[in-house]
Formats: sequence, structure tokens, C-alpha cells
Amino acid sequence: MAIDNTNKCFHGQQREEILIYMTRKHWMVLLPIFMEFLVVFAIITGAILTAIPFFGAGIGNFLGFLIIGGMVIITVWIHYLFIEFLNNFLDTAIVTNYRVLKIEKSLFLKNNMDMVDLHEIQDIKKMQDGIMENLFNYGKLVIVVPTMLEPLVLNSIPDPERFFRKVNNAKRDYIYERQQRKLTALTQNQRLPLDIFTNEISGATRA
Amino acid sequence: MYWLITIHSISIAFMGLSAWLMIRYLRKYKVPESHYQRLWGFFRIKYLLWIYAFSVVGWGALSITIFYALESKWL
Repeated sequence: MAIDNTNKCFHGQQREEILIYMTRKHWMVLLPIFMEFLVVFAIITGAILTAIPFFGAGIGNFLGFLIIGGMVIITVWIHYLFIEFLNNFLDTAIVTNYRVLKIEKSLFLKNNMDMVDLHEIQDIKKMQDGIMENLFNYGKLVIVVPTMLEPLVLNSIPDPERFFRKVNNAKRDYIYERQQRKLTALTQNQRLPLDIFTNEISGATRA
Repeated sequence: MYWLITIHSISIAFMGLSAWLMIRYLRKYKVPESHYQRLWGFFRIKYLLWIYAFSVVGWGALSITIFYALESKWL
């Protein structure tokens, strides 16, 4: 009996499709967002702390609005920061035994999927430009498919060399498997009339 | 004061909704732990959700306390 893997590891997983490798964007993608948060937090806290001694009792309402405004901005920024962190978990690149998938998903706004069949892949380019990308070992992978107008681009992939190897190995295995299947089908097709013939002969002799 | 309490109540509700959506997704599509539940090799998603919850609730409590202290002194 065939194993049913439908939608087991990710949405849209096909029957008998096995997950080979899964990765998400490198943590360096989150660093600017974290830095932004720190800067905003520092500016707002600084502004409030600087403003407090300057205001007397007469303009208390203004100070109250300033503090509430600052606190609301920080609250919104906390949510933004954590939602981006959670989105990073959902935004994945997957290699299975049939295809390469790019899942662009976020908690609330996005749910896109882009895929390329392994046998369609013509060329894969690995790009690691710049100090940071080489220092922290992440980069871009461009998968070229002749039938597609635009190549499949996977940005900020951690350890791109590994991903590259996984795709190549999966592709080689897939092509080998397809060839074997075709060969088996061919030999079965050749045997079929022969079997019928022999059965007919044997039937005739029996009669 | 009531403004801040309302804002933080909405904030906590939003955090609950986000965490629920995330947990629901992770339960629906169970992937081998080595592939999915780690962020940078050492950081698990459940810890991130806990930090998120503590940050939101903690910030709410802290900001209300600060505002209450300032209100009684300056405002």
C-alpha cells in the first residue's frame, strides 16, 4: 500500500512526496529589524526622559499625550518585531524528491508558493557577494528553468552550498528513478504482446 | 490611564491571536524537528512564543506602572 504523505510536512505536499531538505532565511535578515527596534526604543525613551524635567504642571496634558504616544509606538514596534520573527519561521525553501519549493508565507498577509520540478532545472547559480554573506555563510540561489520566464530566486539562504548539493543530488536521483521507471514500462510493453501470444499458443495447443 | 489599559488589552489579544495561528500551523504541518522547529540551531519556536508573550504583557505592566507614577507626580 502506498504511503500517503499528503499535506504532512507542508501545505500542498503530494502523495509519496518525501521532504529532503528544508531551510528558512538566514538570521541576518532579522538583524536590521532588531536594530530598528532598538533605535526607535532609544529615541522614544530618550525623548520622554528629556521632556519630563522641562514641563511644569501647566502643560501636563501635552506630556501625557507624548508619553502615551511613545508607549503606543513601542507597543506596535514590539508586535512588528515578533511578527517578523514568526514570519521568518514560515518563510521556507524546501527540496523534496520531486521538486523545489519556495513558500512565502506570513501569519496574516501572505501565502504564496512557487515551485520547480527537479527534472526541469537547467542550471543553478549560487551567489555570495559581499563581506557579510561570506562571513556568515548565506547567499542567493538562482534556479534557471527554460520553460519559465523568470528564474526561481531564493534569497538569503543559509549555507547555500549545502542547499545547492541537496538540489543536485535530488535531481540526479529523480532523473535516475524516472529512467528506471521508463525502462520498466518499456520492457513491460514489449513483453505484453509476447505473453498474449504465448498464452494464445498454449491455449490453442490445449484445445 | 484607561487609554493605556485599552491599548494593552488589544495588544495582548493580538499577541494571543498570533500565537494561536502559529501553533495551529505548526500542529497542522508536522515536520521533523531537525528541519523546522529550530531557528538558528539553538532557538526553538516555543521559546520565541514565550518571549513574545512575556514581552507584551511585561511591557504593558511596565508602561502602566510608569504612567501611573508619572501621573501622580507630574501630570
